[in-house]
Amino acid sequence: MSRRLGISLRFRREKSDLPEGESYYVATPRQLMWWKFRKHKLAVVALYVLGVMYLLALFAEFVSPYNPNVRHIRHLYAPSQKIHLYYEGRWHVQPAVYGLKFEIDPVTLREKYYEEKDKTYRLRLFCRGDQYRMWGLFESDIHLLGVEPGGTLFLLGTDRMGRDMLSRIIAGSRISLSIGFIGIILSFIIGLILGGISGYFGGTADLLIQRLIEVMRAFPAIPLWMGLSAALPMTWSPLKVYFAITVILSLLGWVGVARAIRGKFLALREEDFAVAAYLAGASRWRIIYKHLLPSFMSHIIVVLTLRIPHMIMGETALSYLGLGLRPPITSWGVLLKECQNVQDMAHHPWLLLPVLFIILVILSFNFVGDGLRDAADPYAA
Amino acid sequence: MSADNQILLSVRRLKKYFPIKKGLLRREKGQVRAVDDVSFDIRRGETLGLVGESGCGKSTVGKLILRALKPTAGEIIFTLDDRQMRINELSDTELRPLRRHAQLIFQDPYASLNPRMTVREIIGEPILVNRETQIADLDARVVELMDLVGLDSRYLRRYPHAFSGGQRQRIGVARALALNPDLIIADEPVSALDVSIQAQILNLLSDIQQELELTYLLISHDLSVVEYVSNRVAVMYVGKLVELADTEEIFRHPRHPYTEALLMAVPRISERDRPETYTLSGNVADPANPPSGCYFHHRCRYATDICSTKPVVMKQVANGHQVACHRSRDLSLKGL
Repeated sequence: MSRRLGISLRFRREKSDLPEGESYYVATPRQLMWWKFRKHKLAVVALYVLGVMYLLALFAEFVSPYNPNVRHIRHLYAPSQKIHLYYEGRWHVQPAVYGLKFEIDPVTLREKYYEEKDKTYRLRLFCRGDQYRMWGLFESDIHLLGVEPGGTLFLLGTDRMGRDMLSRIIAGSRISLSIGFIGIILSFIIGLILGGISGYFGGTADLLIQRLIEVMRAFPAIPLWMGLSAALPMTWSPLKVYFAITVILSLLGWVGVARAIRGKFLALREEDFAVAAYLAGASRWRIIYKHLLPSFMSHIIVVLTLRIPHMIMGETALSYLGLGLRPPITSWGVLLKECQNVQDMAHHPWLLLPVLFIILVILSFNFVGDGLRDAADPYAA
Repeated sequence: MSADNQILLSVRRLKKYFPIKKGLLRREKGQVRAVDDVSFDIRRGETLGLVGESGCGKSTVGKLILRALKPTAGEIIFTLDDRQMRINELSDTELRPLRRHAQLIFQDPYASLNPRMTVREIIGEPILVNRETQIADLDARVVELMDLVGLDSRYLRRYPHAFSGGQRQRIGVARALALNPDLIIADEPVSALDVSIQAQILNLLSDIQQELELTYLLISHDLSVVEYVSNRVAVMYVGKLVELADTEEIFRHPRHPYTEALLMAVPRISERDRPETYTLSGNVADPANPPSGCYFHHRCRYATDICSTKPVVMKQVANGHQVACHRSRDLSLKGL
């Protein structure tokens, strides 16, 4: 009984939001926000998920078992290999995979893969494999995970050309996750300038910018993206196309950001503390950077976080339709382009796995955004 | 007593009209006469109470004096020693010296303190931006100000969220005092506070007035607050002054029916204290579309024909007692 009470009390205590006493009174806005954000458990988990995803993207060459462009011509459309701890008749600490045997089904003429139980290949950490050039700085062939020579390690299967799906998804995350960030930064810059002019100076500039925003919002996004990206020259290098697509995505993305910034400027300009600073003799610049910007930055970060998924989705949609990025660039949209017909989905369902990653990332961004929204104004009751 | 009668601030025929803009092209479709032909003086060392209903323009008067707003017309003259500043004519850069002499205490102690700044930064900001003190002496000056308003100087590094409403208002007072101003405009300084705290803040304001020889313009809708601290009271109705007199005089012998109605509305604990109850009917006149004649005539129980036709101006009816009423001489109104 008392034990139970103790547990419930501890639970209560954990839920009570803020530390007591002086540490609370002198807590900076950032600390308050973090305390409030921390209460949002799902958001914290999502933050960790995103952290892991971005780490994977950052160290893509190292963490992926294979070079994403190397073709394993003996293993086209191989299904995902299972990892075993029980092999050779007993339990092991070191996991292993069985060899893959390829056969053509005599009736359906479909390729089929069997596990060869007599051939086991142990997994290894920091294993030598395909050569890669890390961040264009140094050569290496060390991979986080590999398998004994002779074996294969296709944890998520292979595609039409026998390329390892896991490696391709990790390689694709680098493009898909960064396009969201770079796109949102571009949106933010355009939005801050136009929204700031609109909100701070008002008048005719405000009127024109607001009408422009309304027109942009009324524009159907996908056809506009399609039109713009169809206009990109086919001869452009993949890198150029990547930046062009980012710009195209942020051309529509800035609209919401500008609206949010304008609204905050309008509201905060009239806030008593901004008026107080003006009456104290503070310059316009000081009021903007010392009073207005800190007050709305947290809100803007929320808006930006919640807009990153739109960017990722936009890139995926464009690439899926064949209008965005094209091979040899690998992004999640490009990967999904591989399974555009029912046969592929029915026979090689693992080609759809990038979808899971997209869902995971977008949900995480939304959860983090929700948590940030709650924490953005730590002074609300 | 000559120093007491020295005029610190003189407001002459002050007007502020806000344009009403409508439609896609934002054409001007009319004006709100927030402040319409207001004149008064504030003497050095006194407290002038400015009362009126919500929306009558009393806060706008305060903002115009501090030039948080630019007047449409009229003069605001600030007299310092022998120097005169015509506030209404000054440009933004020329206004800077004024900031040292006139400061504002805000109504809402929550909205008026930036939650992202410590007490030290908030109180120190006016000193810092006006380069009054060396940065090294800033802390000492802030501590001095905190002592003055009754705040524990150990709270220097706390943020506003650590304080109650009354303490926050003390921070606001300290900020207003930071530049050693002559005039403080207190815009409803206690209306956002608990009644028990109101008296503390009002007493604080009186104490520092004595100590620092301050002059106050106290803007309030609460007559008891005004009675408690003011030497003279000005009553405003729809952008115009309707009565101005010494506090004692205006509470005992109001000369304007609107003032009488306001006094009647002051809550009393016992019904016996209130011989007659009388509540105003109708709505406040629309400052965008004011009525003819005296703005108050449609709500006034003493109104006659002349009140609805002839505009009314402020007239001296007794020593230091001004009133804007056609019938001020033949009415005998009840005070408290």
